[in-house]
Amino acid sequence: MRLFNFFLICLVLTYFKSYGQEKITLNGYLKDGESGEELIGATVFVEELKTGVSSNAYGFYSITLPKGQYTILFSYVGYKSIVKEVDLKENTELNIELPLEATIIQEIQVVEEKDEEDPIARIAMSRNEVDVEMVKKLPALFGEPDIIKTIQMMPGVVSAGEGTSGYFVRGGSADQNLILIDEAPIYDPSHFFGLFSVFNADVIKDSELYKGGIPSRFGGRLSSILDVRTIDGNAKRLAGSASLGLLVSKLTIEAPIVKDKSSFVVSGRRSYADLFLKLSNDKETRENQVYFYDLNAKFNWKPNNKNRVFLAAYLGRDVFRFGNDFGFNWGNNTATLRWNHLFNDRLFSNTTFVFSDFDYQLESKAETSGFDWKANLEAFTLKEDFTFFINPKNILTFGGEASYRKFSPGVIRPSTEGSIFANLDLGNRYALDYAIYAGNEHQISEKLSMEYGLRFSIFQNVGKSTIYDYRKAENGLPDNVNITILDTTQYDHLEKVKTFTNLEPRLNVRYLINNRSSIKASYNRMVQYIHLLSNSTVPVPFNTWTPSSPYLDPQIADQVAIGYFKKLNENAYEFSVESFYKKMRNVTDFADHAILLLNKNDAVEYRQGTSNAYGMEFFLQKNEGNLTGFASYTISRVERNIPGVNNDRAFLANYDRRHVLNLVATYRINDKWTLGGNFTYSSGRPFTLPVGKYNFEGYNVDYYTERNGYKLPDFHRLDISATLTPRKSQQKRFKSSWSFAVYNAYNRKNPFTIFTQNKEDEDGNVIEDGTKEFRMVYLFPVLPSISYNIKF
Amino acid sequence: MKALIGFLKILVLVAVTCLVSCDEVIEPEIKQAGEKYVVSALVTNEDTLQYVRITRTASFYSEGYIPGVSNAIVRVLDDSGNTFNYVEDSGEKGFYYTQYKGSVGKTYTLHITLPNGEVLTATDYMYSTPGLDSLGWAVNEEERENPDDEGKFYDLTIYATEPQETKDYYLFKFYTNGEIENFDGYGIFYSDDEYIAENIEGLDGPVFYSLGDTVMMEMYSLSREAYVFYSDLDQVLNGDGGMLGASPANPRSNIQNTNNLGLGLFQVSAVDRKSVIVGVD
Repeated sequence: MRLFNFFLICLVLTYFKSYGQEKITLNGYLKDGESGEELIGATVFVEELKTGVSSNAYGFYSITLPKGQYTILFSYVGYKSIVKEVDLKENTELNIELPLEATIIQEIQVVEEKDEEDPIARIAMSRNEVDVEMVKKLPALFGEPDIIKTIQMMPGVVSAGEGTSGYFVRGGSADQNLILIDEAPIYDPSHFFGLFSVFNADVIKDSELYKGGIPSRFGGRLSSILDVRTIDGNAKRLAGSASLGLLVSKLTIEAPIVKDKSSFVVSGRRSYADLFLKLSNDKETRENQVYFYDLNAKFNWKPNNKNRVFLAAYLGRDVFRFGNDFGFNWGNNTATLRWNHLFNDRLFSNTTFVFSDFDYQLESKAETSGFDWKANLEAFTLKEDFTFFINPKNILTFGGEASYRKFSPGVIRPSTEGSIFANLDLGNRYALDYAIYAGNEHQISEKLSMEYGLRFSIFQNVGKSTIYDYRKAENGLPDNVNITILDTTQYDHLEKVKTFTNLEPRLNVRYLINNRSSIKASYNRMVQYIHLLSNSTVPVPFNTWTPSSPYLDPQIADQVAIGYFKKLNENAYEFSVESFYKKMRNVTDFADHAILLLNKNDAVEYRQGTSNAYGMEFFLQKNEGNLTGFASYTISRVERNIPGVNNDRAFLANYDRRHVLNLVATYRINDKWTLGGNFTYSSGRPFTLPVGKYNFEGYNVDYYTERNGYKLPDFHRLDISATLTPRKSQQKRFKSSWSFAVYNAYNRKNPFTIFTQNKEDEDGNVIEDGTKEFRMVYLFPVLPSISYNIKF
Repeated sequence: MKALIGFLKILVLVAVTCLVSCDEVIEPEIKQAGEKYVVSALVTNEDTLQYVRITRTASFYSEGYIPGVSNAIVRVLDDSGNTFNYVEDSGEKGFYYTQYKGSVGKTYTLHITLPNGEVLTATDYMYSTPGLDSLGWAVNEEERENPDDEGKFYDLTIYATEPQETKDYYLFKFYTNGEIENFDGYGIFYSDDEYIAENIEGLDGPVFYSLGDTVMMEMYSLSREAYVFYSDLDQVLNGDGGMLGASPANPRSNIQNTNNLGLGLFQVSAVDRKSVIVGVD
């Protein structure tokens, strides 16, 4: 409560301070001069006052100043800066379109003054932006650029192995990341079980990963927020891009409907590996289907400068079908309707309605064992966010949201006449979810700034449902061998089952040492009310989510971080080092051998405990010149302590990697050629291996003594790429490029998993004397790829 | 349910690994661990030689069969006050036998005293089995077009009735011409009745047969503890090591020991078996 009081006092003081003299507000939108796309985080700097603001996620800025004449500098990385002389007599609206830098060679204007988005000066720490233009020049698996693969290389982020879309942020598990596309949550970001992610690089405008000091407007996951925003569509002319790859092709079209008023973008992507299957001689193989597709669409309408409306949708699905008998598919569908409204010059509002659905289906048409299996999760959210530009020293954000979620873990129906399967419905689970928040970015002095906030979250598990009271075993945990129901309680539709409330304080502090260096500290409490039912290291699409309930408490994380940020070598380099400690309570885990799919008594398998993570991250980035890229090194450790797991002893988490080093670079040789490269090294992750074996009824069974007592071999890989952009005539808008890449250039056999089997002789026959062996699975050998891209 | 999930797990693995993956033998250094005792024991409702086998764990890289544990005192008690004393086989060390017939509805307790003084105990209950109705055979057309083994394209067809009012657990064993099928040491067929409809008519068996094969199928009733053991055993034998599946752990065993040195299962089952000769109606 003390923190809350502090927060209120700060707010009140702020308000009174801004009351005295006559103030004028300057506001407007900052846009790309060529496409009309709004620029996020562009800078508005007042020379006379040496102060500034940056544009918000919708390109909107607002700054309140005393009456007077000012020189205002509008700037954004990669664009020409514009200087405007403004005589502020009354509230003024000033929309600026920044032209693109004509060529990269042109000297980049270095703004010496403080710039809010500058990583030294901005208050926030523990954030990484993914530059999608750079991602496109980097080598990618099968030539398909993927922002998730670049996120996996950021400091503090760990991957469980290649070919997965899961990532682990500062000791958090993969389900502790909130992944948003245009503010709609994506519950499973994978295509092809993780070889690709759901993000089509051609429609991404901006993506940012929040690892700590998370602003109060975000909540719902413990470890990170990945906020991905798609492009709005060119508001000035018809434009588009297309790409033809070995495995995946895509097409994007964007155009104005009414110039500068409304525009749309539609982008589709489909893999067509299955088309090659048609070439097979084998009839069964020809009938197999393996593909995924994505469709992104966005329509936006700007009737005037006070109102903007966006409608964005994402549809994506993976389809696997084996012959006529068996198939499965999964996918995400999301829709976002947003209305940005300016109540007055200083109050910006954003009303959002979000729908998100994740579902999977399996079906078999086998004569005696046919079934249809469906599971899904759907969520509706209504959000209201306000930004109040109080004065140049204070920006207040506040708002609230309400969600309704329905979890359907599984329904099975027999699909053939003589099927041995009975009807099964695991029953739905429902939750209502509310939050209100407020946060203030406060410049306390020239050197000291803070961003403090508070989020109050309420989560209700509601009916219709049946809650069982399970008998506990001697260790006080639900008995999952002899499952006994002591009591049953029925709840009606929307009847409250259990309510959870939490206060989530957030704080960021920045102290500027000088223009080139700063120190920062942050604290955040995050609460996660939904839980992924998965006991694997990497989530698979058939995992389902479940709400907090009488069986599961909300997961809670407290994280502190400190960091030092510095610009080096005439600002060509940005360096940072951050150190974090994260303590997590009620982290959800599962009993050994837990059956989580199609188990109506899955609650007896839930186990919750604590997890502690700490580490240090070094990051060096170069944004300018012909060579750009970053290097990151992270040393960290994460341990779990879950009663009922590993005989109640602490164990290293599956995704604990002591050392992780990543190098990402692009080098522009000339106008035609750009080279790219990734190198990644990480020490092997913990793994459970047997210490011995025994024979039971002819089966040779591994004998285990502990979980995660071993380490997999180290992981390292080099990928290289080259992008060729043939010289184009000046008049033509049409641009084309070729991308060549080699994945795993030195053909390293990186461990994916290790399993045991009965020893086999050279012909693959089992030696039936009980001798066993370990086998390591590795995925991708050296893999070249090529793709052809056009843009107009 | 198990069949569904097993199917799913295999599919996930196949889908991921068959895209582009390879595997090779590696030899990680393995920690030393204390030895445990492994019991496999079965009491049935047939008047036959009931057995108890006692072995121990061995180091992972050891070669050849693991010898049994000799000179243990082994007995089984039922809840009517009968005691059955087992005698060690003179040929195969670690095997203990005695002849009697178990009864449905009784609880049996296994009591083992090892030569070093360690005591292992276990208790299990004999549930009834609804039994198999009949077995048949049928040509599998897909397999006939392209058989893995020349001439092996006959399915076993299973007919049974699953009582819907009781909660039942089953273990199945398959024999071809008197030889048990062990699926290279990986396949276990067990089931609960959670999602199984009442009438099972012509469900295909797991093996393809040749004309003239004598096929026998056994059905054992299981307690929940025994079912859990087989389910865990299946996860250990067929898991992927913990990447896309759960981290492996020892199957939950009903063998009790004060120092927690027991592994394995004491299983008490009613058994039913049926046979069919492929090609003979």
